[in-house]
Amino acid sequence: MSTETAAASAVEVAYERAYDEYWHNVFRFALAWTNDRAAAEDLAQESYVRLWRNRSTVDWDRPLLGWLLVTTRNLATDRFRAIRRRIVGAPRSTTFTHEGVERWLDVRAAMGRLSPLERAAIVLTALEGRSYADTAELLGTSAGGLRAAVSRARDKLEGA
Amino acid sequence: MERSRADKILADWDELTRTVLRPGLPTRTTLTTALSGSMLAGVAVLIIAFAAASVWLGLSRGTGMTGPSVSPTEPSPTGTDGPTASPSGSPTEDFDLAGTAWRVTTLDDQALPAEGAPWFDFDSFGRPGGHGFTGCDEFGFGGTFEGGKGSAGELILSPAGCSGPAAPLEKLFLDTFRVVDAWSVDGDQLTLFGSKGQIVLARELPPVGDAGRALADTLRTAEWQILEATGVAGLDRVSPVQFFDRRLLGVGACGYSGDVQFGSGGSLTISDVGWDTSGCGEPDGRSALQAVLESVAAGRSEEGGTVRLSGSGVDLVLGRVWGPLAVIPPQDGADTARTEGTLRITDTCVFLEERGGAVLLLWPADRTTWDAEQRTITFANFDGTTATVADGQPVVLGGGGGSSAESGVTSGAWVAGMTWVAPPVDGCPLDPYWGVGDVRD
Repeated sequence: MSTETAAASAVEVAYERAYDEYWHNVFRFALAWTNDRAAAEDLAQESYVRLWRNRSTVDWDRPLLGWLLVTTRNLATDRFRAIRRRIVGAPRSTTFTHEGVERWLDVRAAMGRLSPLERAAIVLTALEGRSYADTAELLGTSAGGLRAAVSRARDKLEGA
Repeated sequence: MERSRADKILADWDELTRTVLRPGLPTRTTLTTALSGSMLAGVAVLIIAFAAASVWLGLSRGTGMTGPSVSPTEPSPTGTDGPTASPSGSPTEDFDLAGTAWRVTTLDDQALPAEGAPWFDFDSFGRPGGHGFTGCDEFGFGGTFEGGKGSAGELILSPAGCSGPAAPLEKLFLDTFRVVDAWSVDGDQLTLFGSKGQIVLARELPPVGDAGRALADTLRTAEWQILEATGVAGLDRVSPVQFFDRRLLGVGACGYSGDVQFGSGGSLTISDVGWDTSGCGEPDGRSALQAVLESVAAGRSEEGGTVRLSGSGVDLVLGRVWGPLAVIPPQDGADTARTEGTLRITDTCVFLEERGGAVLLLWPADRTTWDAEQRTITFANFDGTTATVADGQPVVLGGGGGSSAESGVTSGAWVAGMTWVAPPVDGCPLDPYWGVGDVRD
């Protein structure tokens, strides 16, 4: 096996590992931001497309989750893109149980009272266990701004 | 201990996203196989699979992050031998291409008729990339165009394929566009330079001096709140709108977008309005508003800074979004006195810090622009210069002011007696005040 072939193979292995390890984290983050399952799936998928496309410049020895989440946030905050996707429409393959749908609609409605930043802030800190400093950097806000967002999110959920 | 309502919702969210809501992984074999082959074809396959084939809008610039030592931006895969005629020291390097639209006029030294010529527009908000039409297929690009240097990046084509008379033109355009590495703007002409030649494009707007261009330039300078729309209630819940060369975009929750075509003489058409309902449910009256938007046929500026778009039986009035500014109707010759201090822009007020006191600033509507994203104020002085100022900046202001101590009129009384485009909100310092007539930073 040539050196180039071996390197390419190593990247593919690292990429697949990133899929196994982080896919669900990326999807959940996208879902927290958008509160929309279909959009979240698209965003997560596209983040991995971007990762693969940048494979020659990515440092595969460092943790990739931060890269994926920042990319997802950037994609998610591109409002124009999200809107265009809505216009185009996207077929979905996932099916839910009736109970699952009803529970999700209730939870989604409650989470819908929060802004994207508030949802992402409370999911990342309360459910994903990320630190405030890490989350603030990831979301492009200050530590104070993040604490305020988490606080507002809790208040809104209490009133939901 | 009983869980709080918030904790219960979060626990449900956590469980549902791990179980019933969890989507399956996309097929990794398909993904990696597709991407390992021809990058263009591979990504196109994915884009088709993700049902987003016809649109490709680029990735926004990355921010500070932990993790890998590469920012999540597009690579520049062109690998060309350099431009054939790169402009040097071009005064147009600062031209902001965001949201602008262009149609090819000359390709490989051949003049093209406007009808059927390729066109594209750049994404709004300065993000890299854009999308357009080759004359046959839709395409997207993910590159960057900054500081006179350009890269179309990766091109994504819609899946239709091109055949017949349009095919050679599409191929020539894409081959040339793909290796662009420099650009310049001269008036309404954009020239792209690359190893395969030049592409000359014209701005997709009416010419300067036309009423339609004036309308477009006015609408592009600000965010607008929809103040009135025939038969539509609840407009205060509709997001402000921004206009670009070919598009409009409602910014914020429950956003919306549409295609815009500015025509000569102030004519205007809006089409393909769509709503982003994620996270906000169904906005009240959106169908009615969509119908009004898609019915307007012309627009004109009105006294007081509003813009009226009209069509058959419909009117839609747009007012600038002024943010925290207190705004008054246009004033003449208000630059006779001077004051100086530090500009303060809060979420709700704009005032001057002067010798420890706060002076409310009143801004004339016709010469003031509020940039909500940058939180800056741009002011057009009577001498033709402009000044853009931000919070914390020392400024020298021309104009004239007053105070209750001088006039004997209480602050509440003078506020009530003024004609406002946008009055100061409760809690802003009202006394003394200064009508801004000139700004120097």
